[in-house]
This record gives sequence, C-alpha cells and structure tokens, in this order.
Amino acid sequence: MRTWASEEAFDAFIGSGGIVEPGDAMPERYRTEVFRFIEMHANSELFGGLCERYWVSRAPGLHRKLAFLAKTQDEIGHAHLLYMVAADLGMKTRPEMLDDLVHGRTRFHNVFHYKAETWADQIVIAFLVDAAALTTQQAVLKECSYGPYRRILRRIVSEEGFHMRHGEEMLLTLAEGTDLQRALFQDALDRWWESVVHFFGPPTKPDDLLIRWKIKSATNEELRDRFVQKFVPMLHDYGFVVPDPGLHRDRDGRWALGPIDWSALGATQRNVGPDSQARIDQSRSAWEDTEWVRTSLAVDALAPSGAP
Amino acid sequence: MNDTTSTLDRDVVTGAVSAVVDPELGGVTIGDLGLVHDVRVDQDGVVIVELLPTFLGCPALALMAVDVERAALAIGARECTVVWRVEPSWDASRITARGVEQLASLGIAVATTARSSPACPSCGKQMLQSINPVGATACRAVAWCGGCRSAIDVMGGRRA
Repeated sequence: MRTWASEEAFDAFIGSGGIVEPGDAMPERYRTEVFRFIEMHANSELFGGLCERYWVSRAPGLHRKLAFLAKTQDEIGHAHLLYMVAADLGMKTRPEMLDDLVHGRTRFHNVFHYKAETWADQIVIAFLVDAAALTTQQAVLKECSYGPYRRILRRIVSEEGFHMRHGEEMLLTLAEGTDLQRALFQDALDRWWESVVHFFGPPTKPDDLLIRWKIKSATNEELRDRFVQKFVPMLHDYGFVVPDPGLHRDRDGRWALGPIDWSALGATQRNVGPDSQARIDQSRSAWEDTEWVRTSLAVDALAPSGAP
Repeated sequence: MNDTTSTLDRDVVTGAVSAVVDPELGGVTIGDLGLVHDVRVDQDGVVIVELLPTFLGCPALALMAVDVERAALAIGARECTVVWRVEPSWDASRITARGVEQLASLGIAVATTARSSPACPSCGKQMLQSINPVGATACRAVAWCGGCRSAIDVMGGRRA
C-alpha cells in the first residue's frame, strides 16, 4: 500500500505516469471521482444491453438477431466487470449501485434517454454511438491512472471495435439500398445527430479533476473533434447530410460544428429526458423480474469472500 | 488464365490465414487461438480453410470467415471457401504459447485443461476466484483476482 503526504504529492505521482492500485491510500476525492466515472460507465453498458435486447426479436434476419444477442451479452458482461471494479472501491456495493440505477437516482449516458423508434435509429446507435463510445474509451485507456479500470478497458475496447464493424455493416446495407432505406437512415440521423454530439459532454472545465488525475486523458471537446473529423467525411462519402446548418470547414480544412444547444443534454442529466422514465422503469422491471434467479442461485452464498 | 497455381504454396496460405486477427481480441490471431484446423489448396488455386469455432453460437464467425477469405485472396488464391467444423471441438489446449501470452496482456487467463487453475494474467498470483461461468461472451468465464483486485476473464476450463 502506497501513501501520499499531500494531494500535491499525489498530483506529482499521477503526473509522472503513476498507476493507482486498489490497496493504495488514494485521496478520497480521487476515489470518489474514479468511482463515479466507472459507475456511470457500468450503468451505461447495462442500459446499452437492455436497449439492444429489445432488438433481438425485431432485427431483420437471423444474422442480425445473432449479432444483437451477442452484443447484448457483451454489454451486460462489460457492466458486470465494471460493477466489480467499482464496488471494490468501497463506496457502494453492486446491489446498491443497481438499486440507485433502477430507481433513477444515478446517471447513465444521454443517448439512452431517447426512444429508438425505427431500425435505422438502432443503426445510428450501433454505428455512431458505439463509435463515439469507442473514441472516449480509447482516450481513457491510453493514460488512465486507475489500474483495475485500465486493465478491463483493454478488453472492452477490443469488443467495442467488433460492435462497430457490425454497425458499419448495417449502415452500409442501408446506404447501398433503395431510396426508401436511404431516407430511413437520413431521417434517423436527423433526429439523433444532436444527441451523438452531446454524447461527449459539455466543454470540460479547466479545473476538471478527471483530467487532472488522468482518469481520462482528453477533454470533451478534443474527443468530439476526433469523432467529427472521422465521421463527418464518412457520412458524406455514404451520401448522407449531416444535419447541422453551421457545419463548415475551418481555415485548416478541418470540420467544425455550428453552435451547440445544450438544453436537451441538461434534461438527460437530470433523468428527465424524453424517454428517461420508460428506460428506468424497464430496467427496474428487468431487475425485479429476475429476482427469482438470484434467489435460486443464491449468488451471495456462493460468492467467494472478498470478491465484490 | 492465371499462374497462381504454380506459386500458391499450402504453407504460405496457412501462414496468411493463421495471421488473421480475431475481431474481438485485439492483436490475437486465429492461428494462435488454435482455430485453424486444416488448409487445402487444389491445383486451380482454390483454397478450402477448415476452422473450429470456440463455441457454435459465436457471433464473430461470419466476420472471421470474411477476413480469412480476404487474406487468402490477397496472396493469390483464386477462390476461398471457409468451412466451420463441429468436430473435433475446439478447446483451450489448442491455444499457442504466444496466444496465451497475448491473451494475458488483455487480462484474459487461459485454463488449458478442465481442472487447471491459471495464474492471474495481471499480477501472476494464483488467486483467481471463479465468479460466473459466462462473461461478455460464452467462451469466457469471469473471475476475480484477490491479489491485484482485478476483474479477469478466463478462457477454457469448466464451462457452463
């Protein structure tokens, strides 16, 4: 177990590339920040899984159904790993985190506060939202100072890359399809683009603790910009219109978005977005309906001591 | 019409196919995972690759087949057909030493036999506690390392 005399000494340790391990006497503020970050990630993986599960029976064709089934399992599996690492930080147990989530007391990513109405909506999520998630996770993985999180992120990032290939394949099917299929995707893009842009979060504040302690290595604007430079040209190449009247190239030829209206993001952060309550209710049913499985497996009795 | 027949060597094809990277495991090849069962090249440059899935419902089978076909075509195969075999069944003893090492760097331990209990790939201690027989995919179990307090995936060993 390592200890630090002051927050300044801890800053210096992090600044020189130090990796914090669970047994270390980390500053309480670091513990809180890293816990909240991982809990939010875990919540979002779980909601991603619930959102994809809905499409298992609705996806067109066996191949797509299999893909959605596998992705659902992946997301739930990722949530499982993340909740273990979060619980080990000693701030909340896994049941406490799940109870907070299904009662709407904690947060999850903005994109899960909207309803995916059509198959094309789900493709926007599978391609653009997964790509946005991958962009942020790669940036966290690169320099993250918390050892256990960094280690599971390596696996999660590999698997999210695989999801993106599925998403791209589905997008290409629509892009190369009939006028109706192309119109379906354009319509979904028009309705979802703003929330994809919001996914990266509002501009990072200069004193942000997540950046200071290298829980993440890039600001929200940097991540959004990486995404825009890659995916705006890609959407153009496929012949779609990015629904942002202010979108332009700057003097260096880089893509720049128009002014961003953050009001819709604020609502999702307070769990009062358009579909927030339905999603929370759905997760609560999923949790309560499976109570009998946990009871019959007597998970708690079987869990080895010490494992969160 | 083409002269690939004289130059397409079975070992070269096997090498190219084995170098295909698993779509879900960054950097680990299907050769090192022991998925390549047999490669045949006929006189016309037609390649048949027989692969073993880690489990039948694996969602990555279609993508791997596409990647294998591309790899074979890229080195001059006229055609390539991928066949997924159900026998012999894949098990973790087919993973090469390099594969075990690369999986370890991703935080995935390999239990080469049903009874073996692998060391933690992160800290090397023999302190893995089994948590769940399936994890993010059905070919991996979830364990907790009491040594470095990390969540670990385990390939092979006892299956659900």
